[in-house]
Amino acid sequence: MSTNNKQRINIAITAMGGQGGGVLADWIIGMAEHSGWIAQTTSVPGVAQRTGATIYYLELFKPVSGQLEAPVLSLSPASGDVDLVIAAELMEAGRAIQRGFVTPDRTTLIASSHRAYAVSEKEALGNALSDPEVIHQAAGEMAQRYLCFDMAALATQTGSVVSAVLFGALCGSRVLPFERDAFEQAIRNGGVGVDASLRAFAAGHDQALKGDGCTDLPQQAPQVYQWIYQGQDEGIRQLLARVEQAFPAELQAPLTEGVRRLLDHTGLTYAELYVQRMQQVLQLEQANQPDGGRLLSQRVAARLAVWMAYEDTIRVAEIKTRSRRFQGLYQEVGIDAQQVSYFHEYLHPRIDEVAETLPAGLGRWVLKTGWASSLLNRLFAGPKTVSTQSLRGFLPLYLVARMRRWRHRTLRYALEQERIEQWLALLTELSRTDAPLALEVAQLPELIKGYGKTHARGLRNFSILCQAAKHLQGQTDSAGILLGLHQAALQSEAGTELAAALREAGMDALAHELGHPNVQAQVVQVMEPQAAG
Amino acid sequence: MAERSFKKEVKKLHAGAGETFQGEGILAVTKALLQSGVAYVGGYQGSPISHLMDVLADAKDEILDDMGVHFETSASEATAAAMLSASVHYPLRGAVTWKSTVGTNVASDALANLASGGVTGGTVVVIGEDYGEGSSIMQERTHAFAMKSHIWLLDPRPNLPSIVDAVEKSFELSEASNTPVMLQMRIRACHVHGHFTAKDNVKPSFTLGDALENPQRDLSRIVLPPSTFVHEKEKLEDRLPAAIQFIKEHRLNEVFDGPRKDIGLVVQGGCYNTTIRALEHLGLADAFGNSEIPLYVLNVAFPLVDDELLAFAQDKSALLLIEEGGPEFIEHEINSIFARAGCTTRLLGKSMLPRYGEYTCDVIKDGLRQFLQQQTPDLLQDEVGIKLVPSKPLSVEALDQAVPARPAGFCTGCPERPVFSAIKQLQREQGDFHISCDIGCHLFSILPPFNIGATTMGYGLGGASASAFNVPSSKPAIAIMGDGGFWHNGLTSGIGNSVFNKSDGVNLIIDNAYTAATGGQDILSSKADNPERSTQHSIARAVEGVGVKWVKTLTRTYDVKAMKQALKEAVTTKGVGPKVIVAQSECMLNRQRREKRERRKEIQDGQRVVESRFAIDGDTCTGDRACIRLSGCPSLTVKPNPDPWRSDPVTHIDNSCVGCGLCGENVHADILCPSFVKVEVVRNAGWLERQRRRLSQAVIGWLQRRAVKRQELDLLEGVSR
Repeated sequence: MSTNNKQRINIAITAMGGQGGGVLADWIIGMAEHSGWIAQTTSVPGVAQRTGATIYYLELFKPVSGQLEAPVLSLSPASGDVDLVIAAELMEAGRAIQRGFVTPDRTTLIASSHRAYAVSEKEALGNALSDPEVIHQAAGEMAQRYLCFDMAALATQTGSVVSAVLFGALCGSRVLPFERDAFEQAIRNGGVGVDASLRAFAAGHDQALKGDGCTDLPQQAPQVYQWIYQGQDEGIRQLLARVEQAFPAELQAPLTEGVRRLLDHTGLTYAELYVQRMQQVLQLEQANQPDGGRLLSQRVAARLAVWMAYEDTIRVAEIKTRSRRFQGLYQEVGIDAQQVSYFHEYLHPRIDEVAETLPAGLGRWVLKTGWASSLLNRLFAGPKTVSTQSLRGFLPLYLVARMRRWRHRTLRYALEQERIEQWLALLTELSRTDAPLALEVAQLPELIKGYGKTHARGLRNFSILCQAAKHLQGQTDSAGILLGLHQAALQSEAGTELAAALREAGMDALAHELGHPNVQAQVVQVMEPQAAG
Repeated sequence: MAERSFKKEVKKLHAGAGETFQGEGILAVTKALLQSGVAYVGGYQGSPISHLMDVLADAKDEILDDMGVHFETSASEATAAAMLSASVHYPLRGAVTWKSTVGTNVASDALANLASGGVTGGTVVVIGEDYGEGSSIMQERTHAFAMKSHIWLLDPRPNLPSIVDAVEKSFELSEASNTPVMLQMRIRACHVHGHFTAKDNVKPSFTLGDALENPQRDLSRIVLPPSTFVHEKEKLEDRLPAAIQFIKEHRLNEVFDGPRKDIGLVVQGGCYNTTIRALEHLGLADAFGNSEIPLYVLNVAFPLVDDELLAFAQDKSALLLIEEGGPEFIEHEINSIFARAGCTTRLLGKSMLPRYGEYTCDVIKDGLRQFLQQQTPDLLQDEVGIKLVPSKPLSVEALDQAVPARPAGFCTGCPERPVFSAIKQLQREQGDFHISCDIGCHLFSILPPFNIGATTMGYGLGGASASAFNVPSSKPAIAIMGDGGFWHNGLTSGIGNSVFNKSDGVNLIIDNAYTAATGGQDILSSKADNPERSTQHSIARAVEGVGVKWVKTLTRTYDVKAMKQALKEAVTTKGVGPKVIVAQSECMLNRQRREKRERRKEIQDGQRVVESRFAIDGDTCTGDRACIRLSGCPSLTVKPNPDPWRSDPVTHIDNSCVGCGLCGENVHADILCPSFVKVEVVRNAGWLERQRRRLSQAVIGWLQRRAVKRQELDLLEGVSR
């Protein structure tokens, strides 16, 4: 640090529109000016006011007594010359590091660990969420001090916004040579939402005192299930005893979880079918691979349970009418059951879903018979807004939910079991001839999700990849190629990338089957704003 | 109706002589206009000078009326520039403002005429130079316009006292040389917070009323042959020398001397602070701008003053010119000056510094270092200052993959989003269309997740830029304009043109009740009553007035189905000339700001108030996110899947949801999943409503408990660790 810099503190605040970055800058400026410092701030809002990222840049200068010259303050941050970076969101902290604003010899980085996901992360078909660890690691290495915790959560708890928590964290970090009183006075002078801001400020301040680094409580995603049945039903107890007896240790937890899901979905008989199917898969694996970690069985245990617990109209109606779900919604919007509220469910069953709820034979007949289809279509399908807090909306859904007793007779049940059996048959074949490929095929049902068109698209991709697997059987790196196809299927709804990948793998016929007229691959390049560093 | 109220800031404009004025750069300009005795002000909003217009609009009652200053929100930059004609014959000081270079492009006709005839009263154009990081427009320099029309261009150092002084001097310079003056403010200077010592406001000595009572005309100032030929001569032989004389006398350009006499820096005023910081980093200046190397600061970027330059260059072997942007007009001109005068000092500019892009501290520092290493091998030996950023460790390189881009998008609940959801759904059914876009918030439809629109040719030119596609085809071109662009010129350049040329195209006009993109300023079709302006003029009637036969107005853009239907009809209807759809819904950002306050009051007063927001059933959401690809709403976001057996994130609606209803509409229009639920919470519900609720809750509760018991649901809840 040169002698010049001793009198000056350079601060960059990176925030997104609506996070209160401007208010935070004003507080800091107000505090500095009140304490006799010379302060300057500027920003480049531009189009960034609409959800984009904005950088506010501040310089605080402490005049020495008798000094008449005015300092020349800069209007933009320079790399290596920033004492303090305040990031109102985790990825913005990463961006500040990328731009060279965070340097080990002098920069304190204060960041909120919460995420505001970018469109590219949200719109992906698969999982495109950025890894927060990458930011923590770079920040740990590049910042002189790194303070990070979930300030958005504290803001919600205190009924304020993230900028007030950041201001509190700034105070708690003791980076600026101002006392807590001066901080709080700046908030009072601002005059808007003072009480809530002071609460949030205090929360941020206290959390900052807990130390540097990311001080969030570790949030580990549940990895292993450990449900224990505590009821008296003899059938369930017997089934669970069978699982305990027939499966090796590594399959206990997944199998039990699978059983739980299917009991919740349909009932005991269906759960028994699951266990029976899993026994076949296990035997198959044992026969073909006497040793090993039962990887295939583990994968199938999860995929089969998720698939068997498919979301039909009965399932949706049941979820929608359960009391647990009501409690969850009350909690999410912050009210209780006593308060008058209405849940308006947006449903749009298509004729397919209606017919699939009918007994298999009748359902097939309806779908084939024009007049019957259009009659049912008029009666049950189409856009609906159902209010589940009123009897008129609740009762019909409740009745549909009760139909789960007859689920095994429905057309949807028949269709799903047929597809599941086909998949299991393919697995049986492949595990004899091409075990690594079988492991990839075991993952394919991940493609099937959603409802309506989305479900149909997933099913189509699944079926094409199953055919591709048959084709690839025994080829060099067949598993690797199938994995590539699986990833290509997650690139876009249109399937352009999947078609290209299929062609590349020499499966033109399947690419053709995927067919997508009028759809061109759209190349969308999102450019970063020009970097100032 | 502007996004931000400046009522509080406007009070600062009363500050008298000696008082310290604290505030934003743009507010300081307003104060400087009042200190200069300005008689009238106009302009067109746009970043970075929108606030200047908003401040003036809010200042009307507070101060402008008392001061006898007339303020107008001009219909376009051309209108604003033409407004300056009031100063041609009368000693009236006038100022206008706009975003440049786009606004200057629009204004160029009037500007050229104004500059040709010249002015009597001081005329100043405050230019918001939207260049560099954060700019929303094509990267060009206003400098070219100044040179070609002979309009003087001031580029003051970016601190409040210099800016205020430059405004005052601009009027004097304009009057001394009978030439309009542009005052250039870069983005950061517009938004800089600082302070200066105020002077008293001055009432205009001659008023617009005086002019109307005693009209005057001076034939020699009117742009008409043969005067035009005389004007050209006068510009070079009279006005330019007068301007140079004034610039020299009043020392508008500044020399900051330094001990190193053999080299020097020539700097645009706007780049001064950054240059000083770069010098400081190299150990060649202190915090107060005392530099080892002498600087000549061009607060006037055009015209240049030969004598001053030659005097500065004298005894120096080399100069570095810091001139931001391209082409390097100043470099060319100084080289000409030196060549003409036989000056042998070497001028280095773009050979040391990049030819394009914003001159940030790092950029200037690199250029300076290179210049000094070449020209003075001794000077950089004691480089202290800033430690260089260490070479990128792996952890920083990993950020390139992790940190996502954040393109601008529509705000939460924006009423324009459903329009583009509808277009996306229409394109899925009918294939893609050629879509011309315009300037305004709706431009964000070009970006993900909508990916709609092919070109943007200028403000209000959405309709015009589809005009070539006026040929028989099964799929007509679709042109999009905002209400702002429509009134700016789209009515004539787009709609009128299509009617006249019998186009079959589709014009979609987004009407959100004011110019939302620039901060909610009122325009002709604004919904609100504005005591100062005449509003509520219908866009539909306007297009009918120029001859459109097929017009549909949709008053609720959130109705995606109706929007899709209207678009479908428009693209399939043939032979009626251009088809116009007006899509109306108020900007949600401003509406929320207003309604939140009203709602809070109603709740306090005990009135029944319904608050709504959307939520998602985590149990039915399977994580495909088709909904997000149709929306992109900031409140419609994701969270990691709570079910480890499913890897894809699930959709989640956060607390910022304003319950606009688009999610539900998309579910219905595009047959999405059944996970969306609108939760309405009733505050201050009446007795009857509460009783009805209790009754249904009792029955529902009983049925739910029964289901739990029968299916042992309570025993089947998942537990994991």
